[in-house]
Amino acid sequence: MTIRTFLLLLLAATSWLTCARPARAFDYQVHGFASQAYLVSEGNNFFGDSTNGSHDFYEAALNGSVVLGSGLLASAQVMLRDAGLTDTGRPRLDYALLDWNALQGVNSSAGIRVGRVKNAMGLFNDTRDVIFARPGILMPQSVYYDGAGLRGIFFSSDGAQLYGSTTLGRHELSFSINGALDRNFTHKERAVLLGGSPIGAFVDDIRVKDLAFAQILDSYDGGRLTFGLSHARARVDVDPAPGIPIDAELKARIYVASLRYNAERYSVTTEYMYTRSESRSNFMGDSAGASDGGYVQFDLRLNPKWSIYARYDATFSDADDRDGSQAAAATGADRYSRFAHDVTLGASWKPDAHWGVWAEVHRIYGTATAPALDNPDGAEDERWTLLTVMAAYRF
Amino acid sequence: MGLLALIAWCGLVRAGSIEIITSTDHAAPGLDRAMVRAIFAVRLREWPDGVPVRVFVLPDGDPLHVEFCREQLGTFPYVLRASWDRLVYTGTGIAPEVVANEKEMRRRVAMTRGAIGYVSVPDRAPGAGDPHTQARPVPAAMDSR
Repeated sequence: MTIRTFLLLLLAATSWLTCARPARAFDYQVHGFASQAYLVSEGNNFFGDSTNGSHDFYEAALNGSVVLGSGLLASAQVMLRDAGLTDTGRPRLDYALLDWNALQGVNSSAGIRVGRVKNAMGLFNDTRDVIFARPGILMPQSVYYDGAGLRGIFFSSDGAQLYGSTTLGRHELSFSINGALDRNFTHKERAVLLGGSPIGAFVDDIRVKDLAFAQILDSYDGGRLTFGLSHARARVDVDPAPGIPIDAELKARIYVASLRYNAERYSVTTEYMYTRSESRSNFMGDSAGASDGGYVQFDLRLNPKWSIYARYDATFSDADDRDGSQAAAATGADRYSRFAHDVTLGASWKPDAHWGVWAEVHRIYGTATAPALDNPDGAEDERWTLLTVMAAYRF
Repeated sequence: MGLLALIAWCGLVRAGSIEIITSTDHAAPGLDRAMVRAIFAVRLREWPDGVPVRVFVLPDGDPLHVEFCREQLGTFPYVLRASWDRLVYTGTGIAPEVVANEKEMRRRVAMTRGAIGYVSVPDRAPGAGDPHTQARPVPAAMDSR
């Protein structure tokens, strides 16, 4: 039995148990979900061999929380996800934390979470792998990039999170600050970063240092309007193998601005991300650059079961070279690989509180968001189309 | 209930209003709208005496829930659901428990320590229906908005 089958069976069994004895939100809660997608594309691959039709995109999670009293809450979630070659389908501990809500009042709240904690960045980073809690089957890649295979660094980190909120008139202001322990890249992350590069032989460890996240949110008028600013920073150090005189370091700083307007029947969401990175090494010289991108999405709730949405998402590998022409002139790179403009139309159907079905079609110009791992010979078609459907169950 | 459902289904405006109900062990005064909002947003997890708050709600599409969200919390059911989903999938709070109907709501709130929920007000005195639950309209004078 594969791990995937085992987890789906476990999910089914837990679901049956909690249905037999309804999931109580008393001193504990148990929830979970499973989703399966099918993708078919023309031009380039996205999450598997999608040009021939791919079902290599699924997600499942099982989570639980227990109230321990005195403001203490313990929670954990096991998740598995497969997404072409960009994710493994193997179960991982997504979060496991102890939350101490030390200060609790009607208008203010503050506390600390310790353990493996989800990182807040933008409106959706901490729930991006849950179809029921994200804005479509595929995330807007400008802000929630999935192609690199290094996404795990950003989801959750071992460390601590300080959080707090306060109410000022009709504004609810909240913040969170995460500090992560330094850690080494896993074998998988190393392989993704270095690929088949001969540099791998000279590298002992690749270490993520000083990883930190900060976010402030202003939720106005019961969530009618939400404004957020997020920041993340990290340093990646290369420790050379003994006797190898290489020295390399990468610094990245990410900024995200978010705005969402919620009306009764419709929502408008827009986010913009700016990433500044600097690399320094004694064998390739120093370099610095900035990438950016953003999206705007319109959601219309036709009735309690049916919604439709439209999104425009633009991603630029170099904020100073939006059509890739400078990169093409300087290095001979394929200029279409330096940007992507993605127009998405989608619909969702939620017949009850447990089931959901989504469908969306993407028309994309540029290949910056086509995962390199799924397109080993390079993404060749600068104009490509992607159709995907996903069905999901939760309890 | 059948009549209520029929009326709601017909899309008529119901004459009744909404009452917040709590289990009898938490009859503390001062349950104003700000506190109700903090509780249903799961920002306030414990009563002043330290007992965990246990929140009960009707299904997202239930007309009374829609009215409760709009009138008492000043928000929409889908916005509230999104905030509860975030709690569940980030492990940062216990989401309210969904009960099937008002009868179940009264029963569960009455038998659960530290419980809070809401019911529609029929044309009779608030709180006169169920001796085990304490019904309290939220005082308009304490509305923080």
